[in-house]
Amino acid sequence: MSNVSVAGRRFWKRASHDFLRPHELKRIKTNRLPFFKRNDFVLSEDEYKDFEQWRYFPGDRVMITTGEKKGTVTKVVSYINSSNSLILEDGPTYRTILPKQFWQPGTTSYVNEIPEGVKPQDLKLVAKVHDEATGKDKDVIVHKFEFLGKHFNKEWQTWLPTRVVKDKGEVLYLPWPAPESPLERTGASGEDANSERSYYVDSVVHNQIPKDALKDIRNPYSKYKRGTFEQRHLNKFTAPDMPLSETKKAYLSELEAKKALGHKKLTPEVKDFIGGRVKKFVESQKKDLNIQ
Amino acid sequence: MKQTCVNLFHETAATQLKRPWKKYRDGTLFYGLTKAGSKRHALTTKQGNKTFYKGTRASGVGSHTKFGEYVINWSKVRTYVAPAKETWNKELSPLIRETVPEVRNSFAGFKGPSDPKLYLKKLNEYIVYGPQETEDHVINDRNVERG
Amino acid sequence: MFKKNISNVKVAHFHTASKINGRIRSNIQIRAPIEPTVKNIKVNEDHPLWQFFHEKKFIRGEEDMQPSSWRSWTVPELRRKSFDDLHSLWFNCLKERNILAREAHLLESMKVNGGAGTTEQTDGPHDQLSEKVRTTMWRIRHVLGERQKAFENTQQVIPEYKQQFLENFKERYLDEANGATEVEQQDLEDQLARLNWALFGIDVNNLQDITINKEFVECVIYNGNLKLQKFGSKEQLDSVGVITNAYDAFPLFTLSQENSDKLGDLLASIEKNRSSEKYAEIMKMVPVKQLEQAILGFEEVL
Repeated sequence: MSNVSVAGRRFWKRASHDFLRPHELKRIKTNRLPFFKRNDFVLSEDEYKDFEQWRYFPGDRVMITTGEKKGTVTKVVSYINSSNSLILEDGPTYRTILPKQFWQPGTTSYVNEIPEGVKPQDLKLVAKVHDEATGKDKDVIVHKFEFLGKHFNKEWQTWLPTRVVKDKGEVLYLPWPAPESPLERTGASGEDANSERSYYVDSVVHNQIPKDALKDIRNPYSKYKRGTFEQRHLNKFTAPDMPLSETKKAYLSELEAKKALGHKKLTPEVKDFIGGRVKKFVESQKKDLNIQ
Repeated sequence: MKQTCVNLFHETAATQLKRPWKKYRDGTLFYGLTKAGSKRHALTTKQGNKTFYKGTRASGVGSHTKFGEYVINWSKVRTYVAPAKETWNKELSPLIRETVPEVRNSFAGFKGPSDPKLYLKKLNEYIVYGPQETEDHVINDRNVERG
Repeated sequence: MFKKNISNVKVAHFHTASKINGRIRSNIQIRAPIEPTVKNIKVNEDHPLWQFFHEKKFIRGEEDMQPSSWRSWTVPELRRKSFDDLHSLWFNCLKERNILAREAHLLESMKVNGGAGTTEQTDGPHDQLSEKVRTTMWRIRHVLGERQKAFENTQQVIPEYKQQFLENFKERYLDEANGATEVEQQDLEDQLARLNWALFGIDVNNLQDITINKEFVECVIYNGNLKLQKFGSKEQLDSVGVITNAYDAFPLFTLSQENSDKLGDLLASIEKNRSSEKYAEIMKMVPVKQLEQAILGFEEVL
């Protein structure tokens, strides 16, 4: 398989399936006869990838809310990636036939009880809360919790999402279970060549990046680089005005002249004149229609 | 035995033969080879007609002379600037161990990594303390350092 | 008869070149043929093609190829690195990808595990590691782009902040210089040198190949005033006043902690320059020319 480029890899993947397109592959897979089909199986692209999806971590105490073992408080042991479910310490089991090659030390029969995966939706988190009345810790079942950003978890030495319960403006933090044995973490800051600081801003006059390197750092043909729209572009894309004809010029000058005269108020004489003309017209109309 | 499609499972040979000649919605024929699929790909070197030449962007860096020689135009030749021998830090590994905890940056009080005010602040720190880490640089207990 | 015949038989002679060769290398001896195996091939320790091998191994084992135990560099980690380091890292990454590609190709040709340990769904360890290295590489470009943007943004605002920056430094410098020990004085000198590099782009410790430009003129005037205020008494300050041109400032620019006792001589030379006939003429010149005149004149004095 070529690992020279992403495009090359895609090509080789395709080539290994006799040039079948993804949708063709999917059709073949889904239309297969149902040999030993497992209902809880999920497609690889639907598998859970982060803690926000799993919601629980191996070591968390949980309560089962459905099935035969409803109400049992137990511990999460591990994840089953292929079915997006969790294996519990005291969870439900199912009976199955186990071929001899899968026998563990201590297995004596072909028929065995095997732990069944439980979906995270069928679980509730059990948290410990300090009860001030009795002065002891007591177990509390968390109805609903959410994730609020990320924090650096010192026990796991990594960044984990923060689990919280929000109630009436109060935020209660739910810690992740600690690792069974303390983790050995190496190469903290400043210990090796990789984490040593060698960059310091030293000048506003001299750039530390050589000029010739700039064209390799930034893509001058980037599709995200839109540029700014300037007046010269506007001038370029605006058609020039056509020269006016003589008639149009005369008309416009006439309009200008009229405008220059301004708006005059009606004098009493003019008002009388207009009123007289209207009256004369109305009376002539009345005469024509013989209206008294 | 070869597997058959589930939707053909209950059908007899006769009913299958009587089926209308049709295609599935995705364009595949109801039996036989597919004719569907994307055809809009770049041509390879083996495709196209006799005039189609697809180079590797490695040739064509010069021109032939009338005496049959080939003169290389060095401005067309790609060059790579590798770090100088003295400054090449071979200790930097291309990947980091998963066990090394990730550090995050905070830009509290600044617009971001390209904020000129942050640049001037760093410049002032450099003038006062020289090339060494100051209190601001140091990773705090939340594993966050000033960006 | 038989003997006679033999003497007439033509003997096949060595070729001329072979004869010459025999004469030059007379000690040539027959030895056992060298078997054409890999063991008999000697490769130089510093052969350039070794760069395609990880620690001169033919192929790495599974224990060295655990994609889950390696991660890419993160952006905050790269932000700590200088340009030279990032440039080195880029090439280290490039070489690592070459090694990975070589190994993957080898496995492909041997058809081990269907190519480089791949199944139809997932990539093999070589591809996964190669992708992680690629991630490191785009992040290097990202960080450098970010840094360049910051530099360009600062170019926009620096005319606005420069004066304030210089004033603040002057205030602190003069304040701390008061009653400072020798070590502290040296530290302040270093700070001033860094300031000159930061804001004027002048390396005062290496003035050999410097070009006289606007920045150098500014630097000379600023440093001249600063040193006058640091070493000069109140009377001296009053008599000279604030220096506004490079011609007057240059003699003071050369002043340092060691030769601070020469301040009186330098001030006298400034006074002398001011009273000379050329002075009015020089003042009409552009600042760069003024500085050139100052440098020429200063050499004469020395």
